[in-house]
Amino acid sequence: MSGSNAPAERSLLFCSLAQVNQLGVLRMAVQIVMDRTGDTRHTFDTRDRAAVEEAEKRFTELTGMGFTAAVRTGPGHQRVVRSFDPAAEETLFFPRLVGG
Amino acid sequence: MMEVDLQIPLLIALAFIVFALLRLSYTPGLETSRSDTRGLELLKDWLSPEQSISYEQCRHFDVIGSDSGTVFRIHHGTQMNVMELDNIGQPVCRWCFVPDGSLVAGDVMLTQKIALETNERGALAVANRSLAH
Repeated sequence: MSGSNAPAERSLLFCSLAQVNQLGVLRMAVQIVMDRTGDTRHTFDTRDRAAVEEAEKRFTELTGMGFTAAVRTGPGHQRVVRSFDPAAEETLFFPRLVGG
Repeated sequence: MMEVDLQIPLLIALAFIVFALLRLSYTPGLETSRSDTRGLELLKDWLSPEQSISYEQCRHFDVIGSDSGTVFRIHHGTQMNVMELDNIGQPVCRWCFVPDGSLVAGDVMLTQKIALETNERGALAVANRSLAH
């Protein structure tokens, strides 16, 4: 699974997600998937129906594989989500827990 | 015929240069370092300001279990790095649980933080417990 190279994503090269959203042209969200490289990020415009559908599909696939999804609700605070939230600006996926 | 004779050594030299450049561009240690940095950046993004300061200064930060209110100290690391503390901050025991797969330290610590802060019972149910010392 790799990040897309949509024009919306390329526009993020020099701006943070918050900065892009403040411009009002796009409404960007990101799905962050933990992996061996640290993480892989999938950004999408929440006003682009096709991109949102793709993000929802990714959410379903990852949670089906045992990943847990969490959204940030404030500095240092988060909640676990069981279903896709198209309004979530940042969703983090981490693998299932195992005893060490 | 002369041209062909000249082209073969040229092609061999070119292949050697390409091979050498590929060897130089692949540095396993550098790749690991990049992954570690990405993991730590992600962790810092999700820590509270207090947790972030604590991690910067002491390489550990505290979280409060969502079910019991117990304080857990997460040390920098990828295994045996979660300590349960008593009400005066003394270590009670170690808990070992990690995300499945080979993840970098930042990702492991962030997973442990989120798990304890949102589903403490679930996290400890899969964890192995050992003495603090």
